[in-house]
Amino acid sequence: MINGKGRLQRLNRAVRGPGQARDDWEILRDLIQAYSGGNGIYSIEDVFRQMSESTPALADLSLSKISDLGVQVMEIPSW
Amino acid sequence: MSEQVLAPPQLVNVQINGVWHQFPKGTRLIEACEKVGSYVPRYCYHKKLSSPGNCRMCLIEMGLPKMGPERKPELGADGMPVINWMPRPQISCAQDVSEGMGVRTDSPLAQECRKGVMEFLLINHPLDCPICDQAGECRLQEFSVEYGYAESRFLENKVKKPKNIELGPRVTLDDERCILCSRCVRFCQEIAHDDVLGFIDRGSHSVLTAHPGKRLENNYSLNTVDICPVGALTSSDFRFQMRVWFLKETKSFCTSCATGCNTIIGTREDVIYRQTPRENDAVNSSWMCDYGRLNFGYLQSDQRLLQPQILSGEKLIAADWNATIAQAVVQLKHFSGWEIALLASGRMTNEELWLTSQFAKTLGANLIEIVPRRGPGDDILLSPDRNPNTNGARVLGITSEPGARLGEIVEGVASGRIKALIALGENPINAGLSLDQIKALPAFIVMDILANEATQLATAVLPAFGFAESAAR
Repeated sequence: MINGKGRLQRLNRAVRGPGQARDDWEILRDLIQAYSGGNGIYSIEDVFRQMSESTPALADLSLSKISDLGVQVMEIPSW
Repeated sequence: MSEQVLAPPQLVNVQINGVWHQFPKGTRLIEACEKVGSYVPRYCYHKKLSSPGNCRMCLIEMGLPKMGPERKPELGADGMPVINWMPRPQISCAQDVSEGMGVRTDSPLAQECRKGVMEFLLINHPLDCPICDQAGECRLQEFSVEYGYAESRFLENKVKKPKNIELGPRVTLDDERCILCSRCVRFCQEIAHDDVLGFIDRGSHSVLTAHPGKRLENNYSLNTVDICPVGALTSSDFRFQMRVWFLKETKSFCTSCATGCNTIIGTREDVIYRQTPRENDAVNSSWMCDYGRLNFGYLQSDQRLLQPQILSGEKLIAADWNATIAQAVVQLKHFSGWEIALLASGRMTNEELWLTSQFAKTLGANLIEIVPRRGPGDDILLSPDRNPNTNGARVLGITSEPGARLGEIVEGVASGRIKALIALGENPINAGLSLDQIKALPAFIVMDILANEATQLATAVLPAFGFAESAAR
C-alpha cells in the first residue's frame, strides 16, 4: 500500500485466514485465469513484478526491496 | 524549495568506559552510551519526550577535561585530554556530550547508585509480578534482575494507594505499581496535547491521577500504556488476555487510515491479541492512535465469510472454490464489458488493485471506482482519509478522484445498463445503491471479508483475507 505521504509499505502475514477464505490476490488471479486462460502468475512476487513493470512509480522495486520501514515512491502529492 | 546547505555536524570526542568515541555535538549522553553498546538503564527518559531527570536510574560517573594553568586541557600520553572525574554521580539523560567528556557507565559508583535507586523504587512497590499484566515486558523486573539487590531490607508496611482505576475508557491505572517516572504525563502534554495527567500528594504518598473532572480519553491514550515502564498503566482491552511472552510478533502497519502507522501485531495460535506501534520516524514516530490500534476485532468477528457460495435457484449454497470461480466467470461471460462495473476498495493492496485492473481489462470493462472513506482527522497522526491505499489506487490508475465515478455506477445500475456488479471489499450500499437495485442485478459478485446486508443478494460469494492474514505484499 502507498500511504498519504507517498510511502510504499509492506504487510506481513500475522495469522492464518479463517475457514475457506483465501488471499484476495489468488482469488483475482483465478478469476482472470478462468476467464481468459493462463496469465503466468503463480506467486505474489510474480504479481509485483508484472505490476512494477507497468507502473513507473514502482519501477525497479520488488517485494523484498521494501524494507520494514517502507520506501518513498511518490513526491508528497499536491492533492 | 531552495537548496539548503547544511553544515556538517561538529563532532566531539567522548571517552566511554575507557574508549574514545566521536559523536555529533548535541547528542544526549545516554544516547551516546547506548550507541556504543553501553546501555544505561532508565525509566523516565524517553527519546521522543522531554527529559525531566526524575527517576535517577541513569546515574553514571562523569568527568570533564582537566584544565592546565593556561586554561587549556591537559593532554595525556595518548594525546587525549586528561579527565577530571567528578566525585558525585550525574544523570546521563539530561546531559549533552561535550569535548573531552569522560563517562563510566559501569563503575562501582554507578553500580552502587543503581542498586540504591532500585531499592528505593521497590520500597512501596507491591511486587505483584505473578498477576501483573506488565510481567515479561516490565523494566522494573528487567532492571531488578540486572542491577538490583537480591534481597529486601524493607520491614515496614507499604503505603496503600488506589488500584484498578479507570483513568479513561481504554487505560487502567494501578497507583501502587507507579514509579512516578512521568512519561505518561509528558506524553499527554507534549504529543497528545491533552494535559490531563499529573501527580498529587507528596513523598511516598505521591500518586498519578487525572485532573479532577477529566479523563484520559484522547485518541492517543494507549501510547501511555506502551511507554509506561512498569505495570501502572495497562490497556483495558488487552490486560489479562494473554501473557506477553506467548505472543508472536509480526511487523506490519495499520490500515485504518492513510497514515499507515507502523505496527507490531501480537498473535498466538492465529488469534490477534494486540497491535502496538513500531518506530518509524518517516511515518508515525513511536506512536499510533487508539482507533487504529484497536481496529482488528472484525477479523475475528462471527460475521466473517468463511465459505465460497454460489446462487442456485433462489438460494446461495456452499460450493468449493473451483466451482465458485467457474460459476462467477460463467455469470460474467453473459455480459459485454460495458455492462459490467467494478467496485474496488481503497483498502486493497497495490497487488490486489493491479490484479483488479487486469481483471477489468480481461472483462473489457472500464467502469471501475473505489469508495471514498472519510472521517475527522487530527494534526497528530489520524488522516481524514480512512482508506489506507488511496494513493495506490491513484498510481495504478484505478481512480483519478476517489468516488468520482460512483455516480456513473449507481446510474448505470439504476437504468439497467449495468447488469453485472463486482464488489471487491466494499458494500455497494455505501456507494449509493439500494438493496432493491442490487437485487435486480442479474450478476452481483462479492469478494469480501465480512457479510453485510447486500451479501445475501450476491450471485457468487468469494470469502477473502484481512490485512493481517495475507502473505507478504
